[in-house]
Amino acid sequence: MDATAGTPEDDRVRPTGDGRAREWLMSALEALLLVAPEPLTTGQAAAVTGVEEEEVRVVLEALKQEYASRRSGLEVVEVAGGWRLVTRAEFDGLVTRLEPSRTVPPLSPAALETLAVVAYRQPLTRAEIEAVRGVRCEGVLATLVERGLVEEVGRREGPGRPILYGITRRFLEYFGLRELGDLPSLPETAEGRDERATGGNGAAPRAGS
Amino acid sequence: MHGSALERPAYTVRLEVFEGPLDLLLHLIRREQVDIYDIPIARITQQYLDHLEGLGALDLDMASEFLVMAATLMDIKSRMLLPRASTPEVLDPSELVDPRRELVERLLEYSRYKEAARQLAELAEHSRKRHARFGGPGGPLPRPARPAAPPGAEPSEGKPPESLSVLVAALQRVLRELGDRPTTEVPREPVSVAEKIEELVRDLVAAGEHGLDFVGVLRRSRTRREAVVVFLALLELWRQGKVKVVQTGPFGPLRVWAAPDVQGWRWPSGA
Repeated sequence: MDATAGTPEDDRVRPTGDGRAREWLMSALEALLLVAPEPLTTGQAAAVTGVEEEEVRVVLEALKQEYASRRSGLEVVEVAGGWRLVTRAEFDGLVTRLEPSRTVPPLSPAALETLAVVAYRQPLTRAEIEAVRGVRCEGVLATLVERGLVEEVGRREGPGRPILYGITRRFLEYFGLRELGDLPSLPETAEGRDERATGGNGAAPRAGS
Repeated sequence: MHGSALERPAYTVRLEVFEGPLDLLLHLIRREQVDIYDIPIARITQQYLDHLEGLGALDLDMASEFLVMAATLMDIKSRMLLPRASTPEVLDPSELVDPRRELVERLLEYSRYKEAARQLAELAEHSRKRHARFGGPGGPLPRPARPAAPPGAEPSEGKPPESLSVLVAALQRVLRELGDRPTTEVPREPVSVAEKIEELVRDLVAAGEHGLDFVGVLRRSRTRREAVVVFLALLELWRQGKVKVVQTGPFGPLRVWAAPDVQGWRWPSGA
């Protein structure tokens, strides 16, 4: 048994010796990645294999490199707080020809705009989303909730106790993000040049025109 | 002044689809290559109105939003035409603020999210092409929020309760009532979920389209244990789509109906 073995009821055949233990772990993680119904967290993988989480992370990274280096049709990606074994994007055409139901329909511009507002400003109410977009969002919001990309996260205290919306784990998966912090930072305005030049909160129009 | 800006022969871009009035305005501002901090409001307003005309048959919801913006633009335009207070004694702060200010802020804010949406689209373009064995962006949602509705037996009003907690609350209410009753020791009478299911099916079929009151059904129980068993039986029937549970309005009464195919149905396990 290697030193990091955790569970006493461990009945797995685990070779000793640094190199071989690591090889075993890499194969084991590969197996788990194949069947994991959701992104496999290092915590889950550590619990199942009885190996320290840190070691699991290192070996998952190595596995990712390994897949990349041998130009496999699969790749290991870190997404939504876990790890996944997925087909490479370039084979999307083939995959969906074999299994058309796997086609992921692209989101409409309205849906993307709404998601952007929710992602950067959550939690917020429908009225707040509508204030930013300048259009009603009832329908698109319902669609996003149905697709599991946005969810109700609570209520704002105050008149009417309006529903607060936030993004979901599925949102992270959909956009291939490890965590919310991986979102690209909210862009400066395209017209941001003046904003910078004037310093302050640049949204103010120049005075005295 | 901007009002005197040369009015170009307006042409409208009918084919482009705009996400809303802010989107259209941004488009016009960019097309005209004008400074967003110094919008020639008369010119842009005119083009905005021309464009709206060009759009013609717009769906009503959408049109109203575009029209509100048109009114806002015209309001700003008229305020721009008013002479500024020239004497410092007039200190109504609203007169010192550029009438365009609020609109510019909204436009800038909107343009950031529009750009963020474009970035998201790029991310999605890549990630939605990668397929996991199970789940993933294209995979089905974990599970539907509600059990599939049984065929037929459509109650006339109300909708399924928001969540299981509504049903659990009903159980708790009855359990509290039962808890307060004086009890005497009697030999335990075993009641199984299967038996209760049979009983419930019989009663529900008898009740027909009137259905039964959810709490009323639970209340027939003599002991807490029986109430829990009845509750489990109801849940099982609900899960199997053999009954329909409906709440008429928030905090309204919960009612249970039998599905048409429930007659003679037994719990498969028979336990």
